[in-house]
Parts: sequence; C-alpha cells; structure tokens
Amino acid sequence: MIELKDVTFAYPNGYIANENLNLVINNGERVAIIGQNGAGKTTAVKLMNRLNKPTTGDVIVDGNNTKERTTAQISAYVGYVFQNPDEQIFNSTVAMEVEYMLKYRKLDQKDIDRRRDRAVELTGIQDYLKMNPLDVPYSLRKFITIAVVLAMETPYIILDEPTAGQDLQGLKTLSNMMDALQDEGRSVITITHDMEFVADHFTRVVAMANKQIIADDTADNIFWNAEVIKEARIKEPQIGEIAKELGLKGNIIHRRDLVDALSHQKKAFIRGGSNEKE
Amino acid sequence: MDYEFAYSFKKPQLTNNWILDMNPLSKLNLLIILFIIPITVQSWKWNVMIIIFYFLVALVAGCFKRFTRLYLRFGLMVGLLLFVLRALFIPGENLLYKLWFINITQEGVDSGLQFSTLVVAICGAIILYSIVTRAKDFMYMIEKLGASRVISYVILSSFQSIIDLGEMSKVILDSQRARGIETEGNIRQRIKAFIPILGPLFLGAISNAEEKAIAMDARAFSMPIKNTHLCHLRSLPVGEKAILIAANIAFIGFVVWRLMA
Amino acid sequence: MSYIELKQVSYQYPLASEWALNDVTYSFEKGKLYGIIGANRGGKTTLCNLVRGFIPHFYQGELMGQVLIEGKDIREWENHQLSTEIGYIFQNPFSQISGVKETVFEEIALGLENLGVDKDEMIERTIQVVKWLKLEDLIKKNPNNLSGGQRQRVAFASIIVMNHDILVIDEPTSQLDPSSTAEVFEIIHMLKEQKKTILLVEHKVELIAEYADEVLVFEKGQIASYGSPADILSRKDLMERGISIPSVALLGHEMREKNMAMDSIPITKSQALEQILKGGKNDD
Repeated sequence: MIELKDVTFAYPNGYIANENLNLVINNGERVAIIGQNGAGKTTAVKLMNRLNKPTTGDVIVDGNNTKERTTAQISAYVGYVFQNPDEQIFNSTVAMEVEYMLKYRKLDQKDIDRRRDRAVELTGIQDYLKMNPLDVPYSLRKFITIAVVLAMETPYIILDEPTAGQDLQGLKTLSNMMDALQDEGRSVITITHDMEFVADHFTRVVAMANKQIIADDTADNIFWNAEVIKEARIKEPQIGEIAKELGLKGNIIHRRDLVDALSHQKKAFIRGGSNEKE
Repeated sequence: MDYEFAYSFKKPQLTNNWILDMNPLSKLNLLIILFIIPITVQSWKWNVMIIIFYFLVALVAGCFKRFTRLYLRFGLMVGLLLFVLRALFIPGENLLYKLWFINITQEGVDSGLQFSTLVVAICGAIILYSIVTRAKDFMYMIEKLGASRVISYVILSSFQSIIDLGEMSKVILDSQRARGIETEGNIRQRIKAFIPILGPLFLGAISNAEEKAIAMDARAFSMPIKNTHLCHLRSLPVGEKAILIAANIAFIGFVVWRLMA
Repeated sequence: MSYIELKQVSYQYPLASEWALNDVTYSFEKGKLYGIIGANRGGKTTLCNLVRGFIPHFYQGELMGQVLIEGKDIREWENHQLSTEIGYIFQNPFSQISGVKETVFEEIALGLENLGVDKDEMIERTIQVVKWLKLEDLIKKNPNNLSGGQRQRVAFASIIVMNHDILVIDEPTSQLDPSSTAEVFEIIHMLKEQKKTILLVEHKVELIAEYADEVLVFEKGQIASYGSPADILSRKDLMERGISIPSVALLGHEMREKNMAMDSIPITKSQALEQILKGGKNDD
C-alpha cells in the first residue's frame, strides 16, 4: 500500500507544487491520474518513489516512510517509467539495458533470465533484444524503459504518459500489460492525457488541478462531473459527450453502454431488417 | 495587445544606465585597457586597486550582486589556489615558516600575491564584461562587423544549451535514481553512477543539436542574404566617443611612461 | 492543379535495411488539408521530411522516383528556397525554440530577420500573428520558460509569420495536454480557413475526422488507402490493421450490428448525434 498523508511539497525555491494530498493506493489497483499540465501530477507521483521528499506530511510505501529511505531503496517497491525514454537508456543493446539493474543488484543468472524474458514478453520487444536501443523506433524505446522497470518486479509501477506517440498496436500492448500486472497483484499508476484510454482501461481516476487532488472516483463519475471537467480542464470521451447531449442517464462513457441505452430507451431505433447492413 | 512593447523595438532598447547602455565595443575597448594594465605594471597593489574598481563599476551598473556572486566564487577559488601553490613551492632566501619539507619564504609569498592578484584582475575584466554586456548586443555588433549569423547563433545558443543540459542532467539523474542506481553514498557508488548519467546526457545533447539544426533551418536560417535585426543599438553618442578617445590616449601615454621608466 | 506531386517515390535512410517509403505516387492539391494517419513506422514522418526537402538536403540515403514541388524536382530546389516556400512544425515543442531570444515577440520575429524583412514590416507582421493566435499575454515572456503547450503555439506563430503557402505539421499535439491540444487545433482550423495547403500527421483521428479534406493511410511505407474522411475513417477494417478510427465510427458499426438505423457511419460527434436523433424520429 502506498499512502500519502496530508502531503505538501515545495521546491527548494519555495514554489509549492502539491498541497494537502491524501491518497491511498492498494496492491493490485490500477489508477489513472489526470489533469492539465502544471496541475501537479508528476510532482505527486514523484513523492511515491521519493524522487520528491514531502515538505510536510508523510508518504508511506509498504510501511517505509520515504523520509527515512533513499530513492534507490524505495525503487525496490516503486518502479517509475519516465516520459522520455532517451533520458534513461545508455546500454549498447536492449537486452543489456533490461538486465542492467538486475546485474547491479547481483541477482543470479537464472533469475535474471526469467525476469528479462517476462518483461520483454509483456512489452513486446522480443525482436529487438540484440539491437542498439537507439536504432529502435521511438515509440518502442518507451517499451524498453517499461521493460527495465517491469524486470525489477516491484509491487507498484508508475507510468508517466505511456500513450504519447503510441499507435493502436502500442495501446494494445499497454492494455494487455496492465491486465497481466493486475493479475499478478501489482499496482499500476498512470499519468495520462488520453481520456479515451482512461475510459477504456481504468476504473479509478484521480483528477488533479491547482496542485491538489480535486476528485478520486470511478471513471464514469469523473467524466460526468461537470465541475471536475471544468476545473481539471479535461475533455470527456466522445461517447460520454454524446450520451450527455442526448440526455441519457447512467453516466455512460463506453460504446457498449451507449448502444444498450439507445436500444432500450428508444425501441423506435430498431427498424429491423438486414437492409441496413453493408 | 501591448503595442508600446511591440513598438519599443523601433528604438534602441536602453536601460538608462550609462554603463549598460554603452556600446559593446566601447566597453570591450575599456576593459582591454583594464586587462593590459596589470600585465604591464606587475604590482599587486595596482591589481588590488583594479579589482576594487571592478566592484565599483558593477555597483554603478546596478549588477553588483550578480557580479559579486560570480566573481567571489571564482576569485576565492582560483586566487587562493594560485597563492597557496606559489607561496608553498617558490624557493627563496628569507624563510618565514618551516613545515616538514615545505619552506615558506618571503619571495614565495610575494610571488604568490603578485601572480594570484594578476590572474584575478585579468579574469575580473572578462567576468565584468560578460555581466555588463547583453550577449545579444555583443552578437549584434559582431554580425555588423561581418561575422556570419551561424557563428553568432552558435555562440548565443550555447549559453542556453548549458542551461538546457543542466536541466536534462537533473532529469537523467532522477530517472537513474528511480531505477535504483545509488547516486548518494561513497565514491565507488558515485563513480558507478557516472556512465548511466553521462551516456544519455551525451547522446541527448547530440540528438537535441540535430533536432534544433533542422528546426532552425525551417526558420530560414540558411538564407544566403543579409539578415535584418529586430533589435538594434544606438549610434555612438558624442560623450561616449570622447571618453573612449581620452581613455585610449591616457592608456598609451601610461604604457609609454612605464616602458621608459 | 497538383501542387506537390510524388511519382513512384522510394526512400531508404542511411544504414537502414528497409525502405521507409516504397513506391509512393500521389498528388496533393492546393488549398486542401491532408490528414496523414497510420501505424508508427508506416512512413508518415518520412513523407513530411521529403516534401519539405529535409530529404535529400539534410538526410542522405537513397532516394528514387520524383518529388515535384510546384512542378520542380525537389533535388533542384535550393534548401533555402524551400524554407521560404514550405513551413514545418515539429512534434517536439522544446527543440523549436531558438534559445537565443529573450522574449516571445523576438522569437516569433526570428524567421523574418533571416528573410531580411525590414524592421517596420517585421514588427507589423509579428503583431498581426500575435493577435491572430491570441498570444498577447506571452509576448514579453522568455520563450525558454514556457510550458510545452505555450511553446508549441509560439512555434506555430514563428512559422506562420513567415507566411508560407504550404505547411507540413508533424504530430503537433503528441506531447500536449487536452486543453493545449484544443488550442493547437484551433490554430490549424484557422490556417485551413486561410486556404493553406496543409499536410498534417496526427494520431488523434477524432481531430483528423473534424478537419481533414482528404485522408491518407500509410502502411509499411506505402499509401494503403486514401479518400475523403467519411470514406476512410468509417472503415472498421483499419482497426484490424493497427489504425484507429474515431470512437463514434465504431459506435455506428455497433449500432448497425444491433439493427439500429444508420444512414451512414458517422465519423464526428455531431454526425453521430444527428444520425441518432434522426434514427429515433423516423420511427416515432
């Protein structure tokens, strides 16, 4: 469990980036953190792995108060994938990059092989292991850094903007990966601007605005909360917009639910006959 | 729309501080004089006087704090180091203090004082110039003198690149720490953290440079025509000319006098 | 009239083992907005680099076939001529700021300095663009301290001020938050209304559906499909090939599968609403 208790974070120059954060993330949970740039999302997740130390309040990671540990120590619990893969990669092959920390931690070779293979399988970079990471296309380089973190087998994984620049295949890999991690009881905390991705893959959503958490709720409640949408300056998924404009009830954000609602609410929609099909 | 600001570019952008508003070449001229004096005079008292003079100039220019911070850091570091090295190791006959095999002599102290104040004074001229001259004014001048825009761009942008690289190294450091690499602790651990930080920094710098080169090309940087300037400098005021002429004559006279003496 | 023409163009980056573009033939007409979509590594960015002449002027490698800009082969264009003819806006908001200007106003004017525009005209044109893109609040700020979204708007202004007829825009919003994305698309919309010829690469198909006149689907270095947004973005088979289509189009398909009235598959929200409301009324 990661616990943020009344946390305020200020930079050394005095600028306050987070105020009164209270948040509990349980094992095996999947949480999306949304909100405008500058809302404090990244500083907030950096509190969880001790890249930021709380100015006041406490952050407890599986019983460890981050104030009393180093970032490297906390990294055994919380893995963090940065937004830009190029600010991390330095080994000459993808395999070496994924194995680097495992060797650094002096794990035995059998364990290293197992962890590497699992991480590589989840991120779909099998074909690139022998390549120089810099020759791997940018969108896949992101998956290299994700594999690096997965191989550490931490109970908590933070992803910062994993969907940026990803195509449909990349999004599929991400969603399958998150499912697999959840099955293993590992938590995934994702910062993202992609609201369709949030609607499709997350039940719990934390919305941030002005350095604070303004809502911590289910995705459908968040996207149907006009105040949160305005304050966090987000845009709900199009399906939600349509349901709202049609005056439908039930906080619809998914296609299937919209189709169901339309077919139930207005029987008139159904014309019958197959002439409508292509 | 702030038209006042937009149209302010029609006139030279003056700060109303006569030192800051001085033409960069005039300032360069005066500082070269201050640069050469300590070399010709060879007296630590003159050096100290010139160093004090720099502080006064910075004060009048309204950059006392910035200058002092930079200069003290440099002056204390380099000046002290040079002084100590000379004082400890220059042999001489008048022994002041003996410590094991090290003999501190009057000659050593004198030479240390002389040499360290000289270096500090010369470097003070450079630091002062960089503080009281806006980089873009300097580049404007050298472009006017015929330097290519690419050269002035490379020089100017390198200032920003240093800041950008600093920012990037912080992010890289964070990302490697988050991965579990110990960057705090003993020397061995720190050295181990060196490659994971320098590698991405070096490659990042190269790829940034390439991206920027293409992006600047999109802004017509490769046009083979003479570029224009949004900002310009005023033409040399008569008073400034007079000061320059007087200073140069006085300087030449001074040098001749020293050589004769 | 074809404005930009690709005739059997193939291109391979230096040291690459595969062709980034493979036998591409297409004509771009003046005054249209072309939405370019497709899976990563399909050849979208390569097309952009080629049309602007970064290939072959900046990137070496092997180029076959012909790229004609206004009838003249890309190899015969001087690089600097292309920089006055075709504007380019990049994905990364950070690399587009020059790093040598102290205010946003000066940053925007930089391109005009390079073009040798005289000072009075430079100031007027910069003012015009600042007003047009609503950047008034930023002009005195240091461009090096702006957020990603602000930088991207300044990058647009810095190119727009140079007044190109052709604009190549490569994934301008991939690093931006939703509100900055909306601001950038407002700019793209205004450029479209000015009848600029625009090549726009964008993953967010909802936005392509809204603004594009023509859509090109790139796949493995080739144009796999092209046509009007309504024709292309309603095709469900694109999903199986790794290319997103708007969620309202998927909605339309699902409604059809449930035998609900749909004259055509919608690709924008307003079309979807219209269809749903009409479908409801028909049978009332």
